[in-house]
Amino acid sequence: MKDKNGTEDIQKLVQEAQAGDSMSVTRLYELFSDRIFRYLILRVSHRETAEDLTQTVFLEMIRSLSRYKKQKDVKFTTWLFQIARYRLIDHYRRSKTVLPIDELADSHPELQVEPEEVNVDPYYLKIKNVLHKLSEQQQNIIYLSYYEDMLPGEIAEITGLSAITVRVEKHRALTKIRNILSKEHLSL
Amino acid sequence: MKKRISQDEAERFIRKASFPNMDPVAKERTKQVLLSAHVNVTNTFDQRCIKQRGIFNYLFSNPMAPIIIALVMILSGAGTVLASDGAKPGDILYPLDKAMEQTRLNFTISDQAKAEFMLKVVEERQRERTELESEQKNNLFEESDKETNQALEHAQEVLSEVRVRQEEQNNERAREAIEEVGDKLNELQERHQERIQIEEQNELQNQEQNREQNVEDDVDEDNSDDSIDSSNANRSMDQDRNMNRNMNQNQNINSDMNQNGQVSEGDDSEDDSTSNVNSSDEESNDNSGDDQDGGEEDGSGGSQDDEEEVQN
Repeated sequence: MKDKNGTEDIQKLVQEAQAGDSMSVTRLYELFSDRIFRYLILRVSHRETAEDLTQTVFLEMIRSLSRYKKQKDVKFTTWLFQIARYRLIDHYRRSKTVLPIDELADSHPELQVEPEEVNVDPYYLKIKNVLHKLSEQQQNIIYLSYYEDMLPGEIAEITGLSAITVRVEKHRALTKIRNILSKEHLSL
Repeated sequence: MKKRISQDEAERFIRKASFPNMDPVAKERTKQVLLSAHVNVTNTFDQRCIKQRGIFNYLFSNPMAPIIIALVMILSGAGTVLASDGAKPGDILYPLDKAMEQTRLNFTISDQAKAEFMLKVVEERQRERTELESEQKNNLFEESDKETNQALEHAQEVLSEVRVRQEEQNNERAREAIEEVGDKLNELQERHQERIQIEEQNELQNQEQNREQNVEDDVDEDNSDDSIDSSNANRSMDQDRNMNRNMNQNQNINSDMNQNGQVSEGDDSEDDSTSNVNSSDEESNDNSGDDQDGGEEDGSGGSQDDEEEVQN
């Protein structure tokens, strides 16, 4: 599910990319493109939009690489997901017709855009439907926590919340999922 | 009946899903776009740094910039301090040199080292004086001597403090070393005072010589003044003679007029007496400032005039 790579290798690639090495930029893209794409497609539910946004995120990464410094606990992954989150917010702000997923699911079910999913895991569709019933913040926390194996501190850096809030929100989200699953009798 | 889902089950449900990956074609296309963008961004960044923003912005965007700047500052500061080490009175860096000496003294912990350092300071003051002499900067000698005196006084103060402290501590070895420094310091002080005395004597001699020269010059000037005065006196004598001649001519004219017009004798006699008195006064005044020869000439001139009157 994840493109696992050693932290040192990623830092080395980042340094080389900062020095202007195109191969390192390509390697970083190969390592992170699917992860960013998955994070985005869960939110926008549209493949092409997710692909465009992924491209935007990596373009922003290239432009901002010179400003990135490995600080105390700021990993490159966290930094990249921060960019992805901001680009997602920009996307919502610009496309007024496309509302955030949670709003869309809750208040405008008729406007929900269903992506053309071909050869997708049926489980993915089930989970996506469940996750879309959570708030934007809770979706972020659940996704980053379970699909990116991030710690509350790392999620806090991406979402701009405190680590405690992340823990609390995660617990609330899980409770909500349990309720939904119980209510809808979804098979596990 | 509603089945209650546990937290573990919910978590397992979430993890079970596999999210779709990016389309390979789209992925490749995006990669090409990113590569071209990276080349543009790198070029733009370099151009912006080097050409448009200049070397300073390039330096500040460099992660090594703080280290480079710190190094430059340290080196330039150290360079200034090193340069100030050879400064002499009148140099811009001389106050810095003295401040550095004071700082070094403050940071010197050992009493013996303090005493030795003060000796070095005095030696440096004397070396500065010698350099000034070799550069013939006479106007700075006084300042240099003052600095040497101050350094000697300061050294003696420090030495006495240190000596007392070591005596209290019964540190024989340090005390002996300090005494040795004290002897050297006294020697330097004596040498400095001797030099000052010699210079004062030289100065006095120079002053005396100058005075003598001035006196000789004054005498020469007086002689030249006398010759000028005598020529002026001769000139004034000629003028007096001319004046006397005119006066006598006027008196003769008056006496002729009296004889012809027969005016009252008392008035005339008064006039004559007054004119004679005036003329005699003038003559005496004129003769007083002149040489005796001139007076005799006047006298002879006067007798000649009398003879002319008689003939008339």
